[in-house]
Amino acid sequence: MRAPLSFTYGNCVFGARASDAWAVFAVEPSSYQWLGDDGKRARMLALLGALEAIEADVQILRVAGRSRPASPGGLLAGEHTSASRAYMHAHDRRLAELGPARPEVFVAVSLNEPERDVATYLSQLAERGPSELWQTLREAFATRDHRILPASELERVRVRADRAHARLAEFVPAREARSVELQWLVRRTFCRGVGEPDVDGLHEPRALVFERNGEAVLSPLETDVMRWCDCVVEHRARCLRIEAEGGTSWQAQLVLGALPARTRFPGARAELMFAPPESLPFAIDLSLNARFLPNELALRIARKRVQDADQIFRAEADGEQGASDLGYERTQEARDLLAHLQASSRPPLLRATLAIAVGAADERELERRVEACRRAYGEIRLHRPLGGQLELFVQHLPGQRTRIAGYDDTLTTEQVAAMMPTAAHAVGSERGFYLGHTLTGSRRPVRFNLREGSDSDRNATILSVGALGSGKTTLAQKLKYEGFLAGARVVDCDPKGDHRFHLLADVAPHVDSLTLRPDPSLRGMLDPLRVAPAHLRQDAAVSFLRDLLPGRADPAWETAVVAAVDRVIARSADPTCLQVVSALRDGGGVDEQVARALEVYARSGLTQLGFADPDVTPPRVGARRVTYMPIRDLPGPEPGTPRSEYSQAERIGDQLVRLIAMFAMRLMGSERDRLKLFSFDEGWRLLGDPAGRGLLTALQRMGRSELAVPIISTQLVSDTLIGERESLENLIGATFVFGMRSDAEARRALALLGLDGDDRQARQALLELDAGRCLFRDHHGRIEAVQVDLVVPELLRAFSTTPART
Amino acid sequence: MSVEIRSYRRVFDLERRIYRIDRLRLNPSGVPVRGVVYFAAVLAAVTVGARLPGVGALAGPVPWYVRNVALPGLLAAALAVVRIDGRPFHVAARAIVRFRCSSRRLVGLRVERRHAVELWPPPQLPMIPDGSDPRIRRFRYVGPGAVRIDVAHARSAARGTLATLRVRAHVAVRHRAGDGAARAEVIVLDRGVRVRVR
Repeated sequence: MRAPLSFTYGNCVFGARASDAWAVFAVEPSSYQWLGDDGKRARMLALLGALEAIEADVQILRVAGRSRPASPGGLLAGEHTSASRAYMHAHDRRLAELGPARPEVFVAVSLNEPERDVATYLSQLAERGPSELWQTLREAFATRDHRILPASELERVRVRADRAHARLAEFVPAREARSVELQWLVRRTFCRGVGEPDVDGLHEPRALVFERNGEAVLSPLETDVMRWCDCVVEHRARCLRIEAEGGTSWQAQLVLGALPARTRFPGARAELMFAPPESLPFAIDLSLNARFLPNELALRIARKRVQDADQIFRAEADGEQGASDLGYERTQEARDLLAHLQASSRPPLLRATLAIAVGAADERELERRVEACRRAYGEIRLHRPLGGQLELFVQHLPGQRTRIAGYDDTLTTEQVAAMMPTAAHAVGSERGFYLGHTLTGSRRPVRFNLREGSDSDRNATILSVGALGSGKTTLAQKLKYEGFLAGARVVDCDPKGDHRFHLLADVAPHVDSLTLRPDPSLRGMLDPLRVAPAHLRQDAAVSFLRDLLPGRADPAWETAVVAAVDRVIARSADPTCLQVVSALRDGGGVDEQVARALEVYARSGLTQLGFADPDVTPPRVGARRVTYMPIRDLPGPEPGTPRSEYSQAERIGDQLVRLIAMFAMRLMGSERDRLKLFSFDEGWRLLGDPAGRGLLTALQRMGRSELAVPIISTQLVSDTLIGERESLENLIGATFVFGMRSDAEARRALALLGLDGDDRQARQALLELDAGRCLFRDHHGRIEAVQVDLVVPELLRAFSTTPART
Repeated sequence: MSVEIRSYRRVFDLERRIYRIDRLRLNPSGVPVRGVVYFAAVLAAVTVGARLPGVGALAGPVPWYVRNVALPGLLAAALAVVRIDGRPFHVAARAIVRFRCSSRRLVGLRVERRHAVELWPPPQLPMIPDGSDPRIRRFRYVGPGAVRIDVAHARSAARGTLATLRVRAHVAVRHRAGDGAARAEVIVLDRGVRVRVR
């Protein structure tokens, strides 16, 4: 067999002949599953546009992705116990089990003119100028050795590659493939099923960029030679046995048979380069090798086919049985094809094969995987040609045309674009702790970086929504634990008392526990004039004291409170709410009445925490990295109750929640460069009204500038939240939506994610989510269904809030 | 709302058939041209085989209408219908014959009998760098143009007659080890100015 590749130059590969040059581009795969129909159609149209704009033979490679090197072990900070080291080892093991996070997609574009018939060739010749014609003749009759390419010719190839890039990049996010990526792409074809080749510098950025303008000349002065010393391919009847870098690779090459006559897009039957591979628990590689048939040529072919179909129809009609249904339908289809090609967009056709490569470490596993592939493709047959395995194997190398006869099909650009080769289940962070895996057959690992919002200048707040027992608290505790391992300061507010993070063996020595309860020794812990940020102090104090007043209070009472707070702030170096009460008591008249009303709250219940007493020194907190604050007897309304219907106790509860948030902000404000996490359940209390959202906005600003990450959990997706969704867009970074228990809640949850609440299938999916499964919207707006995965069973038991069975 | 994606395979997958010879109408669905070719090939093989010693003796007693009409006709009809691995018979047969013939390659003067194998040692592949590697490689670049260097390096500009006469590169760039992340620098070159990277 002739060498399929003669050499490569940058992102250009040269086939068996040096004149057969291809440019290879890497295309970023993107999240697709949870896009609406409009979004999916837009993606298809972009691919379609790219295929039509290329105007050359094309090869689309979708291969199992590279393993990313970002081991979470590098995220640990400081001294850690054996428990945390065990956690990191469990992480690494699970990531190794799951494999790559997403596929890699490469598009190779031929830099030669596509196939033409004689008529088109002559027409194009007639359009050329004399100098171009002379150049063509000189090249055709040149006597030099065509295996030798001068540097200027290499430069012309690079310029042509640039033009191809420009055409492609107008429609899809494509960049030039790097030399190391081409090396990886070629070497990994021999290692399928047994691992990945070790390529130096694969994950490092490039060192040099040379401008290409058609005038400058780049002359490489050295080259690398890839040698396959130990790599021999045994071509067996229906498989290949390859002695590869990582072991013995057994590979089977399959090729797609006839496609269905009609399919619907979006739909798994049309998305042949996305849905079936993603449903499999092992990786497969796909190569679509297509010859470009320009519209003029396609039209001539179509007209000939119309004549052929008509001829067959007439011949059948002359017989005694008359024309067959197939004969009649074929005439109609041929005319439909002609009409399609005569559309204003003048679309081309593609004569293509879709080849699938399956690899395994042993023959038995290979057969099992081949059968799984066949099931994944359903009604579409996958052929495994006897004696054609080597040709198909070579077809998967970059810059190759179809090598095997008998399987090419003439496809429209819609058919190829609808295969969605660039679709993926891409969600989460490039680096970070292992969060879980996608709920697909491929089980793609998903990472999550707590610093992603700050690092990428996006919203840092993490919102977690779901019914009771759906996994919100478990997730929050997992994030807090991982933040702790990364050296973060953690402030954990626990209104329900079901958190266990602070009890973990390696966390407990670093915990300050402060139970917020009606205790005189805690008086003043939450005094708004002490805990609120300076610019919010006055409003926070007025709001707190006003909500303590009876609901039927005279408006003059509010005025008195405002004036007293003003006076105290102006006069005192260390103002407190108790001083405000004293100031009111000294005022006489209305002021004295107000003071009497407030004194009751200043001395009793949880509200006394808002009145700092000079005789009481509250405990100091914040010296240790973790501050755990359970809250007892916090009054609160039923979720969904309008604020206008709150009782006084419920209004007080709301005030306390805000004061707790301010207290947490003060704790977090001391270390600007350290990651800080603030966890709060019952987040609807903060999200549901403007004052709470104002606090979150302040936390959000801290998030971007001071690495503060609020983690807000809420059971309820209220109408208020949905109504305020636009304002929440500026607050929320990542969102986790766990299982819902009612159709109405599911509808609202989808609206919160920006999805279509009327989508019955999506609502049903939300209702069926088990504990730990969620829809995850990451900082970049990508959405996937994910299983949150605590890799250490002991942690799962520790964090679970579901009562244990006895 | 979903859109319909059509396949026009049936338009392209039509087979040439002969429906009538002059005024003689053949079978309603016609005779595939491929079948006629198969018939001719089988007939030729039978004819040649009948003249070979051994095979000729076996074929001798068979009546001519069986040997030269019925047998080729039946075989041709079967081969026209059968699809091996989804391909027409002649396409699949060509691939199988090529594969079987190639299995005769000797490996260390021994023929691998247990499995039919062909060995293919992949050829060497030269990979010429273009600067996209993570480390500095050796290049010569002649302007007009620009070069961006993203790694730690040392730069020197050549002067004098040799540089003026373009015998020596005008700018030389060398890798410099030991630094951490380097700031990207751009060298803009006029026409004819050369930079040598090593």
